[in-house]
Amino acid sequence: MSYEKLISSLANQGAKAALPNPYQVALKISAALILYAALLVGLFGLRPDFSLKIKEFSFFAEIFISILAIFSAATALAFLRLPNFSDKFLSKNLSPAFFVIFTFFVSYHYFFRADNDSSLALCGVADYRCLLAIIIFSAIPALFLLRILRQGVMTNFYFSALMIGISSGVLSYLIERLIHETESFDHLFIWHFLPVFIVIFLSLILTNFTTKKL
Amino acid sequence: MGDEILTFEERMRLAQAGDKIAYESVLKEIAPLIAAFVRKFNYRNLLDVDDLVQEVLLAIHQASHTYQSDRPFKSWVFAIANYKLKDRLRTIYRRKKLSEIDFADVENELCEEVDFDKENEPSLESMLHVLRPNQRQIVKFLKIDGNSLEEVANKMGMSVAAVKVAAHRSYAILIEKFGQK
Repeated sequence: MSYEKLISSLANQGAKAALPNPYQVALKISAALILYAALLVGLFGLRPDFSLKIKEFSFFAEIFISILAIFSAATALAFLRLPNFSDKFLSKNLSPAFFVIFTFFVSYHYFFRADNDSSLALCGVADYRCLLAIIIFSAIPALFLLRILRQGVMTNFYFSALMIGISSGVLSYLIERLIHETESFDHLFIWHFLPVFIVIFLSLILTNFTTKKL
Repeated sequence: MGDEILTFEERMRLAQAGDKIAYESVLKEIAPLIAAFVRKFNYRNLLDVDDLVQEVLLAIHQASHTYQSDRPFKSWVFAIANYKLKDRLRTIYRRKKLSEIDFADVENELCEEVDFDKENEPSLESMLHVLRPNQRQIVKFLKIDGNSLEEVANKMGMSVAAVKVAAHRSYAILIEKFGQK
């Protein structure tokens, strides 16, 4: 056989030690993301009306769905480091499902319950600081997740990049929601929610340039 | 390792713990499986099977730390092999590295001769001389000129059914005289 030599040379090098269990990694990622969010919220301060807002169903549901989207993306990412990920249907598709629910939830508020004029949000209420904050807040989690991903092998490139984008983008949305006091759905949609898609797009570019494919 | 036969999963677990003999035996056993897998998808001989098998073995070695011993080994191996196979085919199609097909190589696999040309026509014409002029004309229109039954019927001023009957009779005569050839 023509690969005898190659096999003996590979066998001499030996197999590498196994990566930790993906569920452990998912827990580790989730813990790190919680710590990061707590650190930033501690640094910038929780919004003054938080204790009142959390009693509102829509605010509570928004926070809850975004947390589910973040953690399910983190779990999917822990599995994406392994090549035979495709048989984990639930872990793979849960995160995009939660992200879709999250998108519908925020869009519903904007399109059906918005009491402000959209043009006002674009001109007067427009706050580029929110856009910048969301992109900057998502940088550290994105780099951390990328580092975790690079420890394994890349066979699902676009999906991995999407998970990094969802996880870090929604996390920074959540942080911004917890520290920035706003009642305007227009502002929320344009300056908080749409930047999440910019983060996803940047994650795709970042993942493409920094990961070595198998 | 002892005399007992260990599964792929058990041997890979030993390999990840540093057992080089177990690792070698795993690689040796999966190489023919990968080769069979690659051959199965090697349409039109686009792939160099040995080359791709070596590439897959290298990829398996590079990704050996990603195998989780509580999961099936073969699904892990074939996920990598599948990825490398698709990657290679994508490269081939992107660079249009499609090999040319030489007719001389496939001539024997074809049902009919590929070098059929006008030079063969006189012999066919001479075969048709055993038919009556009317039948000869019908066969010529149908089989040499490639007309449809309706077109031949129009040209000959006959009904389609009559053309069909005449053609069948002509074929029967030709088969009787020259056989299936």
